[in-house]
Amino acid sequence: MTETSGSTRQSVNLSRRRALKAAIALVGGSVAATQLAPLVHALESETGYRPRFLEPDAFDLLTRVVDLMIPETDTPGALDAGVHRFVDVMLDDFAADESRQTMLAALDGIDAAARAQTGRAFVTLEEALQFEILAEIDRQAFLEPGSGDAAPYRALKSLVLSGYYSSEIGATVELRFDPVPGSSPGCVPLESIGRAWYKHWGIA
Amino acid sequence: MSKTTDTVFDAIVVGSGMSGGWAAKELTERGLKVLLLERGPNVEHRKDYVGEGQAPWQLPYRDDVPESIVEKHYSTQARCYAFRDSTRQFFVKDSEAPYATPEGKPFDWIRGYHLGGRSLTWHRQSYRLSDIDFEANKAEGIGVDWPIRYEDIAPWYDHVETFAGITGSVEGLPQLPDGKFQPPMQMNCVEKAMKAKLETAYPDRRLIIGRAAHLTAPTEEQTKLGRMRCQYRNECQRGCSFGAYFSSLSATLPAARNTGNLTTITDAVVESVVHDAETGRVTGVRVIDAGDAKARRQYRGKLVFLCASTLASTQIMLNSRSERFPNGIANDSGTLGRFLMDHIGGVYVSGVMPGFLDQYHKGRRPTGCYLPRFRNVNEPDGRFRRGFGYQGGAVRLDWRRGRNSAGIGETLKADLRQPGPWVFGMAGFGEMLPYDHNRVWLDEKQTDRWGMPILNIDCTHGANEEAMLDAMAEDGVDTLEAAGLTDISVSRNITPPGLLIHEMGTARMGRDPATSVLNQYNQAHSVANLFVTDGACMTSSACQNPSLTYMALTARAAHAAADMLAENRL
Repeated sequence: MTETSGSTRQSVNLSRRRALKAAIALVGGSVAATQLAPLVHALESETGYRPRFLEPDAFDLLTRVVDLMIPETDTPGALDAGVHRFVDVMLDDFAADESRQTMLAALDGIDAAARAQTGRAFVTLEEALQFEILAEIDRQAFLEPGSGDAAPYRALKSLVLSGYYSSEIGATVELRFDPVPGSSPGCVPLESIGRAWYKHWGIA
Repeated sequence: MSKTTDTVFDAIVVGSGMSGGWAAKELTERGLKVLLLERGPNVEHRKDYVGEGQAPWQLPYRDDVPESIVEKHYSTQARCYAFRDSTRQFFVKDSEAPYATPEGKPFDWIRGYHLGGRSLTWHRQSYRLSDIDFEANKAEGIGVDWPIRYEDIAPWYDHVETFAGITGSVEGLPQLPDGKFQPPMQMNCVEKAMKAKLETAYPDRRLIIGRAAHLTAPTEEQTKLGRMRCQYRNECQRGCSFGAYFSSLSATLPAARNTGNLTTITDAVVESVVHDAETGRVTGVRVIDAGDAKARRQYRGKLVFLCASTLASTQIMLNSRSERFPNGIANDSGTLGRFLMDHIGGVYVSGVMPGFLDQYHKGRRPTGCYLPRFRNVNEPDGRFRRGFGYQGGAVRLDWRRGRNSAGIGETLKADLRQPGPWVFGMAGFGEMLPYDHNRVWLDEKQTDRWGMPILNIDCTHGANEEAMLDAMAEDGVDTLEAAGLTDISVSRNITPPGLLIHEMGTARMGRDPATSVLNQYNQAHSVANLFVTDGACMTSSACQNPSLTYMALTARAAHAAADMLAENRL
């Protein structure tokens, strides 16, 4: 697969993201995420998605976190892959109570950090500040492996990454995915593959 | 009331998994009319592999099983490495198939109740035992002596390997005899580099490609059964429409059907074996309808092969009580239910191979590498008895490393877009000694939904197993250092018995009827037309994955039984 061949699969989601970017450009300058929120809502209602487990505020927060963790770059990001919806669905259908509480605690922790530092809710901050706060939470969370306080955030990050890389966009556009390889010839030059394989089975 | 059918089959085979499939094939090919009974539902090759070929995003929850469903139905089965949303139809619901263990002594009994049994979900590693294994009990005065030696089983290993299709390399190792192999799968560049370094430092530590039941160059016999070359998807446990890995459904059962001599009945739970005190023979089996616990019937056969899996075959035997056999059929020795073993595991050693960053693996090879036993082979190891091997492989880390390290945003994305460093990891598989106190027995009060008394399982590791695990960790680190790895880490948490899914023993073979249940042909010492050929028969556990040995013993026993039947000796 070449670098560009995945672009046709980027589906409608990507054009929505582009529309959003265009809208931001129209507003001009450094736009606060508060102004973005209605646009996000508009896009979500356009797709017909209503959060199933999370309250609207929590879903907005999750949406921002997901976008910051895996943004759109030269390839689609986590929002294009619907990871915010994926997390909500997993909490609704998949997770038992303990996991749900863990994820809610992670979101609460992010908002609490924003309020402690700025006195404002996370979603109301400018993107650069949101990134700074989240990056610091992330850095702290991995200083001491397995530390109890960091467990909720690490669980959330893990779910977001799983949601992105196991999506069609993540596995086939961002990474490489070969459903029926046909052979396994030992080693090949990395440049002939170009990117990391998506793997969903087996060790490491 | 139970009904008895008029038909008298030449043979009844109980269980359709690894062993039962072979019994059905060999007996039907010898011209016997065979009734194959399977306690679970029918599974049709290809059609019923519902998870096969599904990309992760096409599966609900990306192939994980919802936590509430795990909690309610699969609390034990979910511990198996192969348990996924796309495979869970091949795992029993713990909620429907209870067993009991003493407080603080867990035993993880991993099962699949359906046509094909665990031959659908096995890990396909296929290794011969050697005379080092067959002679160990006698040499050390542990347990009882095996009634066979390598030369007795070697032609049957040839026989089953040729039909099943085992990929592997010829190595000339005394502790791991070579077989009839299809071409080996490829070791990758890092594994080859490790092999070269390791074997220079330790000539007796041989890193080889895993021997596994996959077709790399199908024979005409295999092609005729609709089997094809492996496509390197490594999603085997979902079922494989290529028939590229060996299972009852891809191989033995189609061959048995082709004879026109096979009758298969599914949803038939065997409750007990019927014994006729006058003739001293079994006359058939009692069956409970899986869909209706009150519907009972009997089937008649000239001989019975129990291949229901180690613990299930023993459960049926313990439940076959009569005046002649008050403690279970063929249990004159009192050893039925005893000397339960599993392999020991819980040591995982891994490290980083520097360099090779312009190289990458391609395709998903469905076997790893194998480091065969090197302790107590040429000279005694002072720390413990018997031996262990390691199974593992080298890969470059993928996106999953991002879940355990700091970083968000564009940097994270750019980093995970490329493969990480090469890592090699391997897990130890060790031999467990046979202990009298590791046993199963029928519960006197609790029955399952079919009215069968449930099994109590009491199994713990002993001092030799603990000492071996220490050695496994120590030798593992030393091995990876010698192979050129850095940043080596080791974990040592002994795995509960059962979870290596190599449970065996409880109706052991032996030379003396006073101390064993089965003779050298897997024939009950005290009931000439009753054979037990699954893992229950094992006299010691060795450290090799045991399925290939069950296949060979089953084929050998089937031909012995057919000979005896033809000569009116049953």
